[in-house]
Amino acid sequence: MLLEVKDLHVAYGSYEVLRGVNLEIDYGEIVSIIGSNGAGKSTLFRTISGFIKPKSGSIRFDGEEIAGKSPEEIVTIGITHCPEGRFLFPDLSVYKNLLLGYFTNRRDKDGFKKRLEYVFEIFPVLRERINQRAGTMSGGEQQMLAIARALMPKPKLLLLDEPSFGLSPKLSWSVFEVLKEIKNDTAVLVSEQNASLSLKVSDRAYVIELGEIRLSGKADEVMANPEVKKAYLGI
Amino acid sequence: MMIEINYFINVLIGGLVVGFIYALTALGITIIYGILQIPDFSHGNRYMLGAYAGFLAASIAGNMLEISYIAAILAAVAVSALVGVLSYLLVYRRLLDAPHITSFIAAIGLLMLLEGFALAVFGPRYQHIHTPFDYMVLVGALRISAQRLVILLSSIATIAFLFYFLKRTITGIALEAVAQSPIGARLVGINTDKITLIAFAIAGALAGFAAALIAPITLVYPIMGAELNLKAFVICVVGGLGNIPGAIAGGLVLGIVESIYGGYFDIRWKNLVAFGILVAILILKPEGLFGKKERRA
Repeated sequence: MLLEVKDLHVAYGSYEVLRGVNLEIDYGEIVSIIGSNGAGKSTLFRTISGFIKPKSGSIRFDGEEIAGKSPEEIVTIGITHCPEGRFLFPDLSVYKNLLLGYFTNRRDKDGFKKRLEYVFEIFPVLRERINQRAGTMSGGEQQMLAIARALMPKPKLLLLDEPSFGLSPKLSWSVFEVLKEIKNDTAVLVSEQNASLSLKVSDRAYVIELGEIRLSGKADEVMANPEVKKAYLGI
Repeated sequence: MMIEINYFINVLIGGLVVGFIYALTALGITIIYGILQIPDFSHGNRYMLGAYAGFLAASIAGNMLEISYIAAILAAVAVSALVGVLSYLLVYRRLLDAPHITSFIAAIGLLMLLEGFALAVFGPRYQHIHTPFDYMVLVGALRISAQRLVILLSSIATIAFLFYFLKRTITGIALEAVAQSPIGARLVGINTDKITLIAFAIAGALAGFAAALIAPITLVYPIMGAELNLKAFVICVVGGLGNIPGAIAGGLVLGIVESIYGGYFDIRWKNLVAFGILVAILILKPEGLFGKKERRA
């Protein structure tokens, strides 16, 4: 297993946001996590990426316990997080944003050039915008830059929070198509409001409600589940 | 006519000299503000302690002016940088999670603490740092003090170096990244604590260098930091807090306005006029000369 989350509890003060979450991701998998706002998806992502310390439970990545490590250490280990809100560097160029994406491997100049070519092939529009300040680009282009920045250090796992936010349906679809291309190098845990879209490209899925995993299974099985259809797919 | 032009150019150079000293100090405040969003009121006293360190080093280094002045510069830069690093480690870092106002108060406390320290240790007397550039040089028909030329050239070189560092080196780019989005910086694996430490060291070093440059002209005394601090802050606000070109432009504008007014009109009104202009700029452009209205992510 690439990532194993076991009995994870996270609390803000006395309010428990995650109540014993169990979740697994294998190498080469795209896994969707589905849930309404406030179900705990973003908290789960922030805990895995080291921004929040869990109250209890274990997060094992590539066999190593990583719960409680700092975000810097988590990136170095091979997990990047592309959060909702993007957190780009608005006054820096696209190039410098991507350069900083490679910060943890910064001494490897050739590796950087290769990765830069790699993300430019995935998102050709970024090559055209290479000297533009990130903050002056359209929402969709910024979203692509945020994903590209997270892919720069060749992570083993990408945590992708609401990737279609601010994107047109067509662009959203191409972002999800990209996930299929990268998944052999980079497994993906994706949370998405547009569940039907993310389930189509996912291998497996989890449904989270009020901080607990309610359902899990193969993506097509989850998609066929009558309750999921009613609650998340609007069918 | 010739004399008048020469006088004007000398007044202008005088303004640039003071302006660059303002700019070097204001740069430190603006860099720290960019990273921590704290107006570090104690910054001027890093400058003051740097000047005293320079004075002590020069006295120890002996009578060879070239050597003692270089010792003074090195000591000033090192001590000011160290005071910067220590202020972060001992004070501001402990307050990162506290309400913002706590850091403001701590900064004022630190300002008074450092000034009290200097007064207790060195006394209120004016001290002097001697420079080997204590002569006039002829540039065309102009007679200019060599120390002033040294200040101009080394300030320009320092600012050029700072820009190179911020725009071209990965550590400098990371520093700008932390200022623009601390969360974004952590997402890509930047250790923001280390970057903040580097920012304080650079801010301190710039102040110490400014102090060692100007001390042979303006002398060394305990409240020199507080006096400069006030001006440096106004400069930062006028230039847009956190804005680096703004701090440089603001410093130069203030220096030149002061110098021209002092050179042609009543020198006693110099501060009033200079600050009047700065306040007027703020009324017309509240976000500062180079400031932007948008907030950071």
